[in-house]
Amino acid sequence: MSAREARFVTPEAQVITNKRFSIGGTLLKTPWTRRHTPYAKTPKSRRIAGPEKSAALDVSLSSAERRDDLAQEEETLSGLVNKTWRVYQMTPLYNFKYGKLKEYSRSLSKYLQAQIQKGIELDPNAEVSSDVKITEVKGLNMAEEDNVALKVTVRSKQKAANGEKKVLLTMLLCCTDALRECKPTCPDSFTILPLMLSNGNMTMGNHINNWFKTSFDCSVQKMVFNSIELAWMVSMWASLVPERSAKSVELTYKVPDEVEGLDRITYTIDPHDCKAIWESVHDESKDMAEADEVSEFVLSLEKHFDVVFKTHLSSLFLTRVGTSVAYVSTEGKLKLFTKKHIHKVLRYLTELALEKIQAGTGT
Amino acid sequence: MAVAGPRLEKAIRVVTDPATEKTLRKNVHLQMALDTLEENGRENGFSSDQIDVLIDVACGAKYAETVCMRVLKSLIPKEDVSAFTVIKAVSWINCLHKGPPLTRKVFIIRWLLLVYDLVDNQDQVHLLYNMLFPMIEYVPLCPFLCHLLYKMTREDDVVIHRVQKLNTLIKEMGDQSHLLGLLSVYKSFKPHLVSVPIPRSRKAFFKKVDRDWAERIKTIQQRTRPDHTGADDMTLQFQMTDTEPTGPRTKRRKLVPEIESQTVNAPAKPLEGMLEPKPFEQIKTVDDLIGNIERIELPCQIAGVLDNHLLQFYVGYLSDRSADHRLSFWLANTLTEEFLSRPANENLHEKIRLLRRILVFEDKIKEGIPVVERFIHRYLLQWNGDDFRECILGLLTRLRIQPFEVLNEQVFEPLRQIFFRSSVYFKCQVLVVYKELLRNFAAHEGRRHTSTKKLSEQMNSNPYLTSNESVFLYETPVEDFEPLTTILEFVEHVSEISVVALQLEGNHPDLVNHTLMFFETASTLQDNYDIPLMLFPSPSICNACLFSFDASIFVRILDIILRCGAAVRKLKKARSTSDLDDSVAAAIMQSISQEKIQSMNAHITDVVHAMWKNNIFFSQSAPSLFTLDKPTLMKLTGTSIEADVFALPHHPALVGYANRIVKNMRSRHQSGDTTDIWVERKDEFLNYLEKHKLSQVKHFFNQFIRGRAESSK
Repeated sequence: MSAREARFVTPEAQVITNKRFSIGGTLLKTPWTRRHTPYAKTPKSRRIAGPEKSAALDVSLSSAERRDDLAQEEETLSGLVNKTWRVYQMTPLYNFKYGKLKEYSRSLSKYLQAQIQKGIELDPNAEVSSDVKITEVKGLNMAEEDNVALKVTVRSKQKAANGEKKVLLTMLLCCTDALRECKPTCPDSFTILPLMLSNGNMTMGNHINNWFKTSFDCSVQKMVFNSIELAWMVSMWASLVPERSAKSVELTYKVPDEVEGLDRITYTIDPHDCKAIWESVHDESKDMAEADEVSEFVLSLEKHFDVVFKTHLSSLFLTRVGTSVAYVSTEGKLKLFTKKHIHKVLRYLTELALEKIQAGTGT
Repeated sequence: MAVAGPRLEKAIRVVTDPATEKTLRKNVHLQMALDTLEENGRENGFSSDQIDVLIDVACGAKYAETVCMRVLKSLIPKEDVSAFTVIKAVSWINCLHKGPPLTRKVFIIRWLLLVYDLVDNQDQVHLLYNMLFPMIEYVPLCPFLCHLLYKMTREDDVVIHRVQKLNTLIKEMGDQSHLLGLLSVYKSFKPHLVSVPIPRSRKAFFKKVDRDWAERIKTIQQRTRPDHTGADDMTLQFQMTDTEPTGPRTKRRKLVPEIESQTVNAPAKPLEGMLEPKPFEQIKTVDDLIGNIERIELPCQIAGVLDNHLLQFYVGYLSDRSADHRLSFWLANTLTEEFLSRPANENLHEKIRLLRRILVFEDKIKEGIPVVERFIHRYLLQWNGDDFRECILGLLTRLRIQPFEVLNEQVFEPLRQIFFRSSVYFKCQVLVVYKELLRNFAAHEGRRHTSTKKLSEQMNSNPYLTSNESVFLYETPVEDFEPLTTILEFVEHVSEISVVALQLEGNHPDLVNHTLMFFETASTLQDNYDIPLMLFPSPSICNACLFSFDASIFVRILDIILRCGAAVRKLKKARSTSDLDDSVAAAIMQSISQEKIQSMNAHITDVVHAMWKNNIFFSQSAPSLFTLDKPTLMKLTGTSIEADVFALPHHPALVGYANRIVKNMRSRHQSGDTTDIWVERKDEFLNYLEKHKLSQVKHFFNQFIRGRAESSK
C-alpha cells in the first residue's frame, strides 16, 4: 500500500443491508446524471447473463465430437483466467474468410518478419523469428449468430529450458452473444468480431493490429470504460460470489489533482455484504439489471462511505472495480478470475464494444 | 566557340582508330582528340551515331582508365540515344574478360541512368532487364542499378524470384533505400508478392549523385530541342497540394491511410474472359481511371479516398455498399477517437487536415456523410466554439435535410448556445453557415429527399428494383416529411436568433450585413432553385434596416420586401392553378399565411406613408406595424414632431443624397429648402438615387403605389 493511497475496509457491522436504507430518487439524481456523457445513450436495462448456451449449437455433433469440443472449451477458458488482458474494440472485418486462416497466418508471419527486418525490436530477447498462428476458438460463442472467435498466438521459435516454445503474444477476437441487441447494420461481406483481448508484447500487438487494419479495413481502438460502465460491472457481477475463496469487492476512485497527498481511494467491501445489498435492490425474478437498480446499488455503497468517512465518493471518478469475477480498470485492462463466469464478462464487454461502435455510426 | 564539324570527325576518327597509340603520354593526337571531344560535349553534344561509335571507346579495354572516363563523361547526347548503343554498353558491362573494371562499370550504369529517358526505343532496352537484374549483387553497382531497374520495370518483370532476391539482399545489407525503392515499384505492380512495408514518407529512394552531369545533358537537350519535353514531366499527376504547415515528421501521426493494395486477400487468378483487377496505386491520371474503370481494385484501406481525387470520383460512381460501410466505420471510429477522446491540441495539423479532406470529399459528392453528421452532433455538445472552427462550420453547411425538430435538437440548439455566448464575429460566421446551409437545402437536399422518397415508394411496389439507383451515396432511412416545411421553420429559427443577436450587439454593422445576406439568399430561393416559399424576415429586422443610417442597408431591405411581394403573387397564382401535393400545398400555405402577409403589408404601408406620403400619423384603416399618436409622442420626446419626419429626403440614410441634390438645384433655381423641392420633384430625387446605384427605392415605390409605374414613364 503506497503512502499516496488511502485504503478503507468497511467494518462488517456497519454495512447496511437493509432495504429501508436505500435512498430515494431525489438524492440519487444529481451525481448520477452528471456523470452521464451527454451523447451516449446508455440502455435502461441490460441482461446480466445471456440465455443458457443454445442447445441448437450442439445438436449435430456426435458424442465424441462433443467431448472434444468440451475439452477444447475447457482449454480456452483456462487460457483466459488469471492473466491481464488489454481490451480493444474492433469495427467489423471486411472480406474476412474463415476458410483462409492458414493463408492469413502466413501473411501475418511475413508481415511481422518484415517489421523485424526494418529494425523494430518486437521482442526484448531479440529473437528474430517467431511462429504465428491464427486459429478458430470454440467455446466462447453463446448464441447461434455469434461469429466463431479467433485466436492469434505468436510463439518464439527458440525453445525455452523446459522444451516449450515461449508464447510471446496471445490475442483473442470474439463476439459473445450481444448481436441480438445491437447488431451494426452492414452487408454480409463483414464479419463482426467487436471485442479483442490482447496479452503479451505490446509492440508486437500494435503491429498485429496494424496488420488487421490493412488486411480487413477495420479500425482497432483501445477500449476505455467510464465510471458508469464500471458501476454496471460491479452491480451485475455482485451476486456472482463463489462459495470458496471469494475475493472482496474493491472500488478504486481517482482523487482530483487539486487534492495534494492523495491519488486515489480504494474502497473494499465484503463480497457477501455486497451481494446482500444488490439482492435488496434487484428484482430477482428478472435476469435484467435496471439502470435504477445499478445507480441505487452504487449510491448506497457510496452513501455508506460518506456516512463513515465523510467523503463523497459520488463526486469522484470510479477508475477500477474488482469483484470475484474480474478486475476491470478504466483504461481498459481486464483480469478474469473464474472460468464459470467468463461468458458473462465477455458478453457485457461485447455489448459495450458494439455500443461504442454504434455511437459513432449512429445505426 | 563551337567545335567545327571536321575537327570533331577527326577527333572521333583518332580515338576509334585501332592504330592509335594506347598511351596518353606524349601522344599529341589523342590528347587533342580528347580535348575536342570534351569541348564538344560541353558545347554541342553528340548525335546518336557519334555516341554509338564512342561508347565502344568509353567501355572498351583499349585505353587507360582516365581516357575512357574522359570519353564517357563527355558523352552528352544532343538528341535521342539509340537503343542499340545501350545494348552495346550493357554487353560491355557483362563482359567477363577484357570488360571494364568495376569502377568504370559503375560510371557506365550512371551514364545509362542519365540517358535512359532519351533512349529512342525503350522496348528494346527493356529486353535487357534479365541481364541487368542479376548484377544488383555487386555492391558498388547496386544503388544505380536499382534506380535504372526502377525506371525500366514493367508489370511482367515482377516475378517471385526477383522479389525473393531483393528480400535476401535487404536481409543482408539492411533496408537500403535503393532496394526499398525498387521493391516499392514491384509492390505497386504486384502488391501480393511483396510483404515488406514500404515507408511512404520517404519521397526519394534514390540519391541524386550526378547532378552536374544531368544538368549538362539537360542544357544541351534544351538548346538543341527546346520544344521537346522530357519524359519526366509528361505524366500529369493528380496530386493533392498540401498547403498546411508541415511539422516535424516524427511528431505527426498520419490519420488518413495511404493507398495500398490488398496483400492478404490477393485476388485469385481471374477467370477466363474476366479482366484482371488493377490496383488503385497504378491509377495516376483521369485517363487511367476511365480506361480501367471496370476492373479497378479498391485499396485495402478505403479511407485513402480522402487523400486521392481520383478515388473520390470513383467512389462517387461506384454503387458498392460495402465500400460505403468501410468508409463509414473508419470515419466514425477515427473521428470519435481523435476528436472526442483525445485532447484537441494533440496532433493538431493532422486533425485539421483530416477535416479539410472530409470537406473536400463532401463537396465532391455534393452531400453530407451521415457518420460525419453524427460526429458533428456529438461534437457540438462539447465544442467550445473555437477548436477547428473553420472546418466544423464548413461541415455544418453540408448537413442533410431532416425534420426541423430533429435538426433543431441535434444542431441548432447546441449551436445556438455557443452563438449567444460568442463574439459578434462568431455570430456572423454562424449566419454565413446558415446561409450556405439554406442554399444547400434548397439546391441539393430538398430535391434529393423528394427523389429518394419516390424511389423507395417504387421499391415497395417493385422489390426487384435495385437500390443502385438511389441518389444517396449512403443509404439512410427515408423519413416521411416535407422538406419545404423544414426550410420554412429553419428560416424562422434564424430570424428569431438574429433578432436577439441584433439587440444584443446593438445592431452591429457586420451582423446587420450578415443577417441581410441570409435573407437575401432566402428571398431568392424561389427564383434560383424554384422553392415555392415566401421567406420574410422578422418585423424587428425589417424595422432596424428600414431606418438604418446606411443607404445600402436601406435599399437591401427594400429589395427583400420587393422579392417577397413578387413571391407572394407567384405563389397565389400557383396555388390556384396547379394541383400540388398536400404536404407541399400545406407548406406553401404556411409560408403565405394571413398573418405573414399582413405583416409584410404593414411594412409596405408604413414605408409608403412615412416616406412617401410624408405622414407618419396616418389613419389606421390599413394594417400597420407602428401606430404613432402625436400627443403621446410629444409627451415622450418633449418636442413637437412633424409628420414628415421620415419623409424620403429626411431619411437618415438618404439625407446626404438629398442635401447634394438640393445644392445642385439651388445653383440652378435659387429656390428654398428641401421640402419644397421634395413636393415637386419626387421623381427627380428617385432618378438621382437610381443614378447612385440605389434604384431599389424607385422600384419599390413604383411597385407599391398604384398608378406610379405608368405615370413615371
